[in-house]
Amino acid sequence: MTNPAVSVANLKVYFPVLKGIVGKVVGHVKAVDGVSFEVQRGEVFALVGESGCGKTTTAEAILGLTAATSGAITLALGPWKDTPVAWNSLDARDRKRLRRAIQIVFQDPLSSLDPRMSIRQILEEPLRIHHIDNRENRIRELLDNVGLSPSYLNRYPHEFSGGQQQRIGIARALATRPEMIIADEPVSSLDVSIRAQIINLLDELRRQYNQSLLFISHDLAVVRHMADRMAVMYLGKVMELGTNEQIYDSPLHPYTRLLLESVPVPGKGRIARRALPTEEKQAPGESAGCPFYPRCREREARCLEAVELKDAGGGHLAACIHLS
Amino acid sequence: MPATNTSPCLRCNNLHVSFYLDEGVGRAVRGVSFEVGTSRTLGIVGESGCGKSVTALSILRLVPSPPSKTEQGEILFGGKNLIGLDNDSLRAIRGREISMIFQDPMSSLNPVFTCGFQIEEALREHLALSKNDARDRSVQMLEKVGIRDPKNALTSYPHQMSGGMLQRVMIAMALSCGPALLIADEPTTALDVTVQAKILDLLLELQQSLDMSMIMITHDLGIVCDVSHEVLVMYAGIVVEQAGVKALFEEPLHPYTQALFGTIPYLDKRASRLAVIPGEVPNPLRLPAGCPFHPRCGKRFGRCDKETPPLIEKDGGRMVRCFLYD
Repeated sequence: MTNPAVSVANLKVYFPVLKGIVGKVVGHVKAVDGVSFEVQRGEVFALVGESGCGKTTTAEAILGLTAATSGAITLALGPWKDTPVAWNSLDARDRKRLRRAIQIVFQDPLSSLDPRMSIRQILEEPLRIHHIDNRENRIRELLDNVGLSPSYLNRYPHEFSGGQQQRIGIARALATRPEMIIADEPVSSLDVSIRAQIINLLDELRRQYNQSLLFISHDLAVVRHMADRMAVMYLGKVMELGTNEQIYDSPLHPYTRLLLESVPVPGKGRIARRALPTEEKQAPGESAGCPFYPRCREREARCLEAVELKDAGGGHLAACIHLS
Repeated sequence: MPATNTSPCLRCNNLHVSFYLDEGVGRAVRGVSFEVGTSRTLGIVGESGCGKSVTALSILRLVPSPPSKTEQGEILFGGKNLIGLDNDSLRAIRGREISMIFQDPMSSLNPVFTCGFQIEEALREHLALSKNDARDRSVQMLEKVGIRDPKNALTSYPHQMSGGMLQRVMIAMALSCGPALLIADEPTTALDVTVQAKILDLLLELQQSLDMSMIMITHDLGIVCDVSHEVLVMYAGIVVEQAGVKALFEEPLHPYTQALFGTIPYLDKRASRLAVIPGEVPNPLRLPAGCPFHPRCGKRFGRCDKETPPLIEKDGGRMVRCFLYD
């Protein structure tokens, strides 16, 4: 396809490490270090990885909440559907128009809802900000979308269970009828039996409104269920990128394989036992080599030289020297 | 549970724990019985609020009282009933013969003491070791749990270590006195999946080398399958099913267990849509009459909302609490 909803090219987000009272910059945390991918229209694209891999920072940069150090993010959404734009090329008014087309659902539903606003106020706020009329009907429609009763409108977030709170979070994200939703670990804090409800809800709504979904998760089983394509990230870099089937059925990168072997599968247990590397994750040095090198079972000296994503065919990319 | 020749390490009979709150009485645990065989692992699975943690914490009397109260039941360990024991005698067991590790290692360790001090404290308290002996033993324990620079770890404060390392420190501390039983309450929930795998490996390895029994509390069906021999499935304060791990996953009997297995996405196959259990977990202050699962159950019939079903014994020593098997 030629006109992706979101296109990320060589994105870098570095946070300065400050020291002393004058705040001298003594180094950088490379939260995202050269990430590229595209989210196609109507597709579910997942960013998978463990804590600190940069998946949330990437999402924040796409939303324009964190400034990119370098690289380009272009969004073909809303009025710019055919002429992709970047956040920093827009003025405040246009940024607001673009924001209407891209919304986020957060991990912790309670802390992402204002405790002093009723459900009505929470759902009305985005409608008011974006000057959307006929609000009362829209609010009721939103509640109906997420399976909540209109009788809840005057209640406050703490009166709801975790699953219901996440439904409210989803309704708020849907309020502006965005073309793209970013869901950052939307089910991680929920109980097992509630998780399935929310996953199905996200999936149904996305189909109903023909939205693109960027799904961020560390849970490989949930991603297997949800995603069309995905990028596996490690310490700010993309290790592997491909379709659901490519990644799960024939993973190429040793890190992807390690991840998959580490998950205990109900009814089976883990694939790998006592075959894991003992090293812990460590912040990458200045080398251009593979960040997974210290933990890799298949490492070689040349892994410390520059490693780039290579196409193994059919859009299946991996950053490993063993792939040539 | 398949018949084992070994005598149980711990037996819990008809445990009832309630919370007396301003809003009413929350019956968190309502008649839970189980036994943990010597060198075996009992998994307790369930969703939040099912009473799995309260059950485990009650063994060591770690639930704050008030508001909680152990209404009845007995917990037999080493010929003693832990419920009736005085506080000093229980203190001598806690950390010495029965140890516990918790979900969040960061908040379970004291931030103002070094890791070394906290491990040595248990050793000096329980085994009356001298300062030097306690230090040597701590170094050994840290080596055993796979920390490569134990001397450095001893002088580190909790905030200086990663989550995986801290959980190793917790395990070292819990196992330092050679307990007969380790209670692990969601020990890997806060950890990355690759770190989780290593911690599970470590626990399994240490269990074998120390010949220790284990209670593994988790909401993760994969973990339960990975480490347990027998499994209790809890819902709203009661045991709804009990079986050997293989039998449970091959053929879950209780409608709740069956539904739970249907709602989770699997790594090895992709379903078009996940099955859903309608409704929510009941509030312990307002439990439904009859079987607590009946409002969400697809197989309910006449009796389910009136009487609570008994635990019914099935083939192979497994138990299920459902009228379908009556």
